[in-house]
Amino acid sequence: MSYIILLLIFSLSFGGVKVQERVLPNGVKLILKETRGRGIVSGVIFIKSGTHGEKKRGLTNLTATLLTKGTKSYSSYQIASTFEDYGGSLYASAGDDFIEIGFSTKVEGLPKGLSVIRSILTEPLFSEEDLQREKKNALQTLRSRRERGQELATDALRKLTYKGSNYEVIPLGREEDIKTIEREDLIERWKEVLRSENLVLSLVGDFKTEQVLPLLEETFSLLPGGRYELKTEDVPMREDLIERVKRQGSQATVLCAFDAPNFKGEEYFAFKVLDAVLGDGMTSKLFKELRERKGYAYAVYSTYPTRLASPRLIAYIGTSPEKKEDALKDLIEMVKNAPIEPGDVELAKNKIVGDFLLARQTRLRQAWYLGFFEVMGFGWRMEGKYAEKVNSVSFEQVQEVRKKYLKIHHCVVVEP
Amino acid sequence: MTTLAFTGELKTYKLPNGAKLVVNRREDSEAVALHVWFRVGSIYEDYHQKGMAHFLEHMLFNGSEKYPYGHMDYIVESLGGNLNAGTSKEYTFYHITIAKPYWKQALDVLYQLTQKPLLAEDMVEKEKPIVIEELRRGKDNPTTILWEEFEKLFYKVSPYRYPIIGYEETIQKFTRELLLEFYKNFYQSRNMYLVVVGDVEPEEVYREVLQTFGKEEGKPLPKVDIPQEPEQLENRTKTIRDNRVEKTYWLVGWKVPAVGTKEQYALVVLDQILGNGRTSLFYRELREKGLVYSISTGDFGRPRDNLFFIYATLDAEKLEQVKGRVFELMGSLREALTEEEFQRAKSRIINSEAFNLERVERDAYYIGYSLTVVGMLDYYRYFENNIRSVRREDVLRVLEKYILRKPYSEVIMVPDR
Repeated sequence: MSYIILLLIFSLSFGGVKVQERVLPNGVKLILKETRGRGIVSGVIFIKSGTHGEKKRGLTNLTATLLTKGTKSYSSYQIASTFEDYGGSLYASAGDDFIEIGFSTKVEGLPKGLSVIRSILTEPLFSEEDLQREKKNALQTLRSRRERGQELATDALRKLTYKGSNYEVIPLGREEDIKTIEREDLIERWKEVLRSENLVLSLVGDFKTEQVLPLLEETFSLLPGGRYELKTEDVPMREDLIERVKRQGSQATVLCAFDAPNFKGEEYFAFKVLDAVLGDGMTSKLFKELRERKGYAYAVYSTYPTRLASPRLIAYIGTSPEKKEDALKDLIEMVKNAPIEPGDVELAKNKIVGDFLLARQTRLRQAWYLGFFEVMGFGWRMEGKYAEKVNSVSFEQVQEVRKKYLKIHHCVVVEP
Repeated sequence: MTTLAFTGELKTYKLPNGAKLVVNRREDSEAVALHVWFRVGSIYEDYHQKGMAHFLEHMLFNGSEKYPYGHMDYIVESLGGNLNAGTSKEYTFYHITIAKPYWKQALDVLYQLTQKPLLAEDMVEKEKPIVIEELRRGKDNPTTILWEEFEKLFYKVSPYRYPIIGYEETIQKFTRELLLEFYKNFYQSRNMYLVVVGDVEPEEVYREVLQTFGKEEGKPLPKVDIPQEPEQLENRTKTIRDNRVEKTYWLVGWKVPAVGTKEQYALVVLDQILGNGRTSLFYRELREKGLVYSISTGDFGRPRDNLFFIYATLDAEKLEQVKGRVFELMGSLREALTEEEFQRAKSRIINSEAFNLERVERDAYYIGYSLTVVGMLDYYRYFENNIRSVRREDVLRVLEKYILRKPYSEVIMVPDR
């Protein structure tokens, strides 16, 4: 039954949708998707870089933050109002593997929006005053992560499981490094990563491609050519580790990392399905056993974030301090050994595809997926093949990847 | 919220048993959102029932007459849909978003879930530790404490002063009988609003609803007396020290006109001008000048004893300066606000609706909120027109009448070192 259902969702959601690709002479890749609606448009610019190779931790994040704070031609207010006046918005942020600049506006506001974006890319101000203020903000945000058990646990787990790679520190950075960041560092970092071959723009909206293409060419043709090479390295998991972090509070937070396959290759989809079987939604193993049967928690789940290197499955449970040791033991046990049946796999596949399709209701999310698949190396066409890929995973493949990967754990327990 | 120009076909039906159904046919989506709203939340509870509306919401997922425990989640997730629910102080709602071909199965699940729950005794006991973990998870986060303390300070008489989740002591005492009584009072046709948004035929939805929700009998609703909050006569300040926080939180609020009244639309525009987005006055004058780490404004959209707030995070030593500046900026708005900037603020609100409504579940939420909380679909229907008709003078008048000339309540949370 589930197989038929999937096919039906699949044909409905992808039927007749046209996505076009243009590669500019300098190597910038444009991905365009026309939609019909109320005259709105969203886009995301991905710049493959992230925190890879940053010398001061937090530098890429500050660089991205300052992009929207002023350029030689536009003030921070003018930048914001260009998008907000049309009911949209603009953001820039740095992740582990890429910088992301996202925007939404009305189609009629797109020409103005793109001229602001061109200015952001090619002539950011990186003013000293803005830098000092945003440094202070970043430091405060970093310290404030202690306020929430889950954030504190995330930071500790990164240190434990990604030791020696750029993922060891969250993109926000490290206190001692942030303090030393200067304007010259920003200028240099931006020059380093803003390379046409690292840049992907995805645009989804109620436009006609032939009308927006000239505008996009004008915006992106003059960007510096070449490529910023990323040196990624995998940090292997060698042994079981458990670290304990003290924090006052009414709950303990348990966060565990398990080994997982790289996204390049067929194992990725089988592992996605495994992750959903274990920790996605109310029918998942973790939810049914640790919340519903054992009553340890309100929230328990797993995720399998897509990264360029050091892939991991992450499992979370928040529980009362007196239950934390049982919860930790059972969480590890469930991830590694909970019995899985063919029906679980079929159900998980439908969950993934359903969530994927429902998330794509907004143009911004559609643009994000297209660009994300491209910048990570799947190719944007994966957006159209994703459901099929997930659907073709077999029960046996799920069992195999589980046997192969879920052996070692790194855990953090934040406890009062 | 939106206008008729945006929506396809807005059809409203009243069922013979008193339930109301609104269908918004939209051809621009492959997803369908189905919502069931009840006008009941934590303010409808008496003192011993604190947390019951929310606990009941959990209990409805624990099995129905047709679908045993676990089956409803299974049906929805195996069809690639999302099933969830939420409890507020005024309303409780249950919702599914799902691909178009499966809306009938989803409707049946929502019918069983809300109208045929088993509320079994052993499930009540199973659910208690889960809800208590939810409560502790909330308390683990200092900002939950901040908001709870704020409402406790702001409301002295109104039941808005109690937290939705209740207390461990009250939750532990819930029984099947107590829950059943609460359930029977509120989870019935005359207190129910159904909303379906998506590419569906409204008449067909109506027929399906008649065969499910329509079969239940409507009964008179119990009269619940929700005491009104008396006028606040002087400023109230509460300072909390918490050793988990690294910065200072400042939350200040005033009592303002109810959602859906003419004056509240002016308040929505005021909120946009002062604290919404990076073009707002407070963002420019406080966040971008390095006085605060963050600042925002908003109103609770309540149908009675509504509240407008300003929320900022900052360093403790800057609090007095920031407070002074906030009042100065509001006090000089009459001189500072140009007609052009005022018109732009209105356009920002109106234009953002197209983005808000991209997701069918968001659209359904606005309709459900208008029916259940505001008490009129016109709030959804004419929101844009109502914003359009706000004049600069209206905004300045609500600012002066309800904020500048009235006492405030504030909670300050500081690091305890």
